[in-house]
Amino acid sequence: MGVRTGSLIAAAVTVAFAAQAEPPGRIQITVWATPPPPSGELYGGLAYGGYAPITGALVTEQRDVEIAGGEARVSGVAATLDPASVQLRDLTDPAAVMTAQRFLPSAATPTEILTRHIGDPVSVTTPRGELGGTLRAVDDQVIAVETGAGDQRHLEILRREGFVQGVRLPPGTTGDPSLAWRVRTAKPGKHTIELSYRADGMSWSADYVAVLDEPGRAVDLASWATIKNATGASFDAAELTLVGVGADPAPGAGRIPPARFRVPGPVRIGRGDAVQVELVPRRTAVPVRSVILYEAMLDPSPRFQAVPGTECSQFSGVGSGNGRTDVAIEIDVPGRVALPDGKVRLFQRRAGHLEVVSEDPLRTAAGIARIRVVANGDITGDRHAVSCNYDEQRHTVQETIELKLENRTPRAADVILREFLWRWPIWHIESEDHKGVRAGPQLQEYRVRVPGSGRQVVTYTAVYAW
Amino acid sequence: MVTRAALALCALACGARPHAAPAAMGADDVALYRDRAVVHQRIELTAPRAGATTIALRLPAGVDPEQVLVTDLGELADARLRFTGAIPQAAPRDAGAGEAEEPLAAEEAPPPRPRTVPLDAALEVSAPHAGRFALALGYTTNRLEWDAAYTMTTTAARDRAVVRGAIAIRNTTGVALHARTRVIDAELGTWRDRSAEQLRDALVGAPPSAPQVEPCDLGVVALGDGETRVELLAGAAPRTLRSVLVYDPIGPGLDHTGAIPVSDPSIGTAVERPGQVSESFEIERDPRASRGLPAGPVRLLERRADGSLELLGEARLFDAATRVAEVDTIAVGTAQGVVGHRERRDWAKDDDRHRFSEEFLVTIRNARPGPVELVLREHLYRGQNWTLAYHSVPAVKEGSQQIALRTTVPANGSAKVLYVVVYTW
Repeated sequence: MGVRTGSLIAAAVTVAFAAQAEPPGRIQITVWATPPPPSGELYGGLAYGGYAPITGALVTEQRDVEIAGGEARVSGVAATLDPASVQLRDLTDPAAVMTAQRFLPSAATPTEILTRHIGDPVSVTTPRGELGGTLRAVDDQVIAVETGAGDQRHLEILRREGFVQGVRLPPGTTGDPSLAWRVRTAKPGKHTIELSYRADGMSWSADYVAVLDEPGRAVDLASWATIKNATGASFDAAELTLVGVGADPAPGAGRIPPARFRVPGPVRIGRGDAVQVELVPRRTAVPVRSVILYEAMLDPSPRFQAVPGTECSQFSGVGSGNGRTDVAIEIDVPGRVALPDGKVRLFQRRAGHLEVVSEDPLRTAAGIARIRVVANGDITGDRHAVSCNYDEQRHTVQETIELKLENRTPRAADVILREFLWRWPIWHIESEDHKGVRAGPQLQEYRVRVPGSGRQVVTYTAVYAW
Repeated sequence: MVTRAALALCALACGARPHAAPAAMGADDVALYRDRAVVHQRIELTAPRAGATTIALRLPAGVDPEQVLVTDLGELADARLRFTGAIPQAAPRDAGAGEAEEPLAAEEAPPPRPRTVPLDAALEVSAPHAGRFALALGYTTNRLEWDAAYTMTTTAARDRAVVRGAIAIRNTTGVALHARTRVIDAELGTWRDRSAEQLRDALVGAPPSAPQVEPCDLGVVALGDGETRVELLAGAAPRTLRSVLVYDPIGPGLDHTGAIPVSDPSIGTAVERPGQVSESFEIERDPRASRGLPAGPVRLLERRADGSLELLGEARLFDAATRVAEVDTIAVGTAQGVVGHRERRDWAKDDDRHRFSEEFLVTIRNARPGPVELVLREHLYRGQNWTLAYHSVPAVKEGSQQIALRTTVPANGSAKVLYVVVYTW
C-alpha cells in the first residue's frame, strides 16, 4: 500500500528544478587508501585501544554563494559529510562570521523535496494552467500555495493526485544534500567561499599489472589507482591527492609518513563512479632479478599502533610453522618513496598469450618492488628471540632476534629476510651481524646468501622506545 | 551469421589439427577455465589529433570495476578508465549528527547488487599523434561458461567408431566478443599455480615439471550472445573399437591430489563394487588429435542398418584421471560369468624415509567357456607422488593417479594380478 501511494505521489508531482547549484570552483580532494584487512586474529588492535586508520576524504572546494538575509546555502555536498568537520572561509569578506550551520541530507521523496522549499516562490502546473505563489505547506495529499497580496492574498489548496502536474522551484536549488549557514557579514550579495569537510564513502586502492617477457628477463610494470566515489556527490575537475595507509606522525616522532601521490591533471569523479588513473608512470622492459623472500610471520604491526607490544613471550619463536618462503622477482623502481600497498597481477607472455602467473600483494620498499611468483619449499627458516628486556621505567623494549635459514637444494640462493619490527612504530637497530635496510615504517630487510645445502644465521638487536 | 562464423571456425578447433591457426590481428583473447574466463579485450581507437580523446566501452555484466586492468596501453598515455554509477552509495549521515561516526565496516555493508546489464565505461587517453591506436583491457568473468561433450558412433559390426565432440560456450556477458579462444580444463587458480611453478623452475634453473593440463586452442571464435558451439575432432578418422572386460573396483572417488599421501591405512580397503566386472568397449586414442581436449561425457551410439541410432553406453572422456591414457573404455553392461576380488595383502609406513607402501592382490574368476581379456583399472588414490615397485602383469599409466593392468583369464579358470605401490613425500 505504501509503495502504491508513493508511486501515485511521484506521478502527481513532477519537481522541476529551474537551475542547478552554483558553478564549481577549484576542488581539491585528499583521499585516504582503503586499509588492508588485519591479517589473522592477533592480540591488540582497536579493542585494546589501537588507533583507527584514517579513511574517507577531505574535500575542499570553492563556491560562489548568494548571501541574502544573513543566510547562505550550498547544495551538492557529500551525503556522507561529517557536519562537525565543516570549515567555512569567506574569500570575499574575510571578516564574515558563520553563526549557525544546518546540514540537509538528500531528499528522497517528492514530499521531502517540496518541504525544503516552504517559503520559496514556486510555480505550479495544473490542468487549468500555471499558478504562481509562495509555497506554504506540503503533505502527501495536498500542497498549499499563497497567492495574491493585500486583501487579495489567499491560500490555494491543490490536490496532488490528479491535479498538480509539476512544481517549478527557484533557481539554484536541488534535492541534493545541502549545507545552510547563518552568516554575519557587512557585504551581502555574491560571495566566494572556501568549504572544507571530511566525508566517508570515498576510497582508493592501488593495483599493479606486471607483464613479464617470454624469457623472464624483463617486466613492464603499470601502477593504477582506483578511486571509488560513494559519497553521493559529484566532483568535476577535482585535484586529487591519494594518501597511503598510515598516520601522519607528529614532528620529530621518528615515524615515516604515508606516501602521497598527486594525480596529474584534474579528474571528474561523479556520484557512484569508479575511476582508474595511472598512479605513477609505467615502466617498460625493466630488468628483473630472481630472489627468495622469507617472512617468519604475518605482520602484527597494525595491532600495536597505540599500545606497544611489551609481552616478551609474544612471537618469540615463530617461523618454522608460520614462516613463508616465496620465489619472487625484484625490480628497481624510481623514487625514494615506496609504492603504496596494493595487489599485483603478474602475467607472462607465452606463445602469443598473456598467461596468468600470480596475484598477490606487491612487496615494496623505497626504490624496489617485489612480485611473488610461488611458494618455495627449498628454503626453510626459524626465528626466535635470544633475549628480550622490557624496561617499564624507561619505556623501552630491547629484543635480540636470531633468524636461521636452511637451504635444501645444492644451489646457493639469495634470500631477503623481511622482519617486522612490530612492537612499536618507533625503533632503531642497536646491532646486527648483517647490514640491514629499513624498508618500511616497521620493516627491516636483510639480504643474505645461503650456500647450497647450507645454512645462514642473521642476528640483530632492536630497541623500541615510546 | 554467428552460426556460420562458428561453423567456419570448426576446422580450427583443437583436435582437428595439432596446431591452431594464428589469431587474426585485432582479435580479443579469451581463456576459458572451469570456474571463470580471463578476457583480454583489445580496444582500437582513432585519435583525430594528438592529445586527449575519449571512447565509450562496454564491459561484461558482473565485472567488478576494480578487477578491470589495462594490460597494454601501447603508444597511448595518461589513461583514465571511468565506470559511471558502478559504486553503491554509502549510507548518508544523520542530519543531526555532530560527531564523526565509525565508517561502516566492510562486513556490515550490504552486498552489492549483481549486475544484469553490461558495465558501461569511458576510457580517456592521450594520443601522441593523430591516427589509429590499440590497447588491451584484462578482466575475469564468470559469464562465459562452457562444457564439452562427445559421441562415438559405431556400426553393427562394432569394430570401428568415429569420435566427434563439441564445446558449447555460453556467453551471458551482454557483450559480443570476437576472440582467439582457448579452453583450459582446470580452474584458474590451478592453472595460475602451474604457470607460477613453470616460471619458478625457469628462474631458479630447475628442470621444468611436466605439464598436467594442455590448453585447447579453438582459434578465433565469434562469441555472440547465447550459446556458440565449436566442433572438436572434426574430420577425425574412425578408430578401432573392440570388446573388453573392465574391473574397476575403486573408481576415482578417493583420489587425493596432494603431494603428501593420505596415510590412513583403512582407506581403499572396502571395495565399492564388489566383484562387478563391466562389459565394455575399448577405443584407441589418437594422441595428436586428442591433445588438450577438455573432459566431458561421451555417448557410444550404434547406427543400425535402417539408419536409426541406438545408445549403447555412456562414460567420460579426457578426465584428469585418464589424461595420458592410450585407450578409452565405455561400459555397456555387467559381465556375466566373470567376477573380481581385490585384497590388500600388506602395507607399511616409514616416517623417517617418507614412504608408504601397499601390496594388492586382485583375483579374477572366469566361469565362461572361453578365455576373456580383462583390463584391471586401479587408482593410486593416496597421493600424486607414487611409483610401482612391482607389478605381475604389464601396467600402463592412464593419468596422474590411475593405472591399467591387462591380463587374460583362461576359460573356467582364474588369473591373479599382484602389484606394489610406494608413495613418497
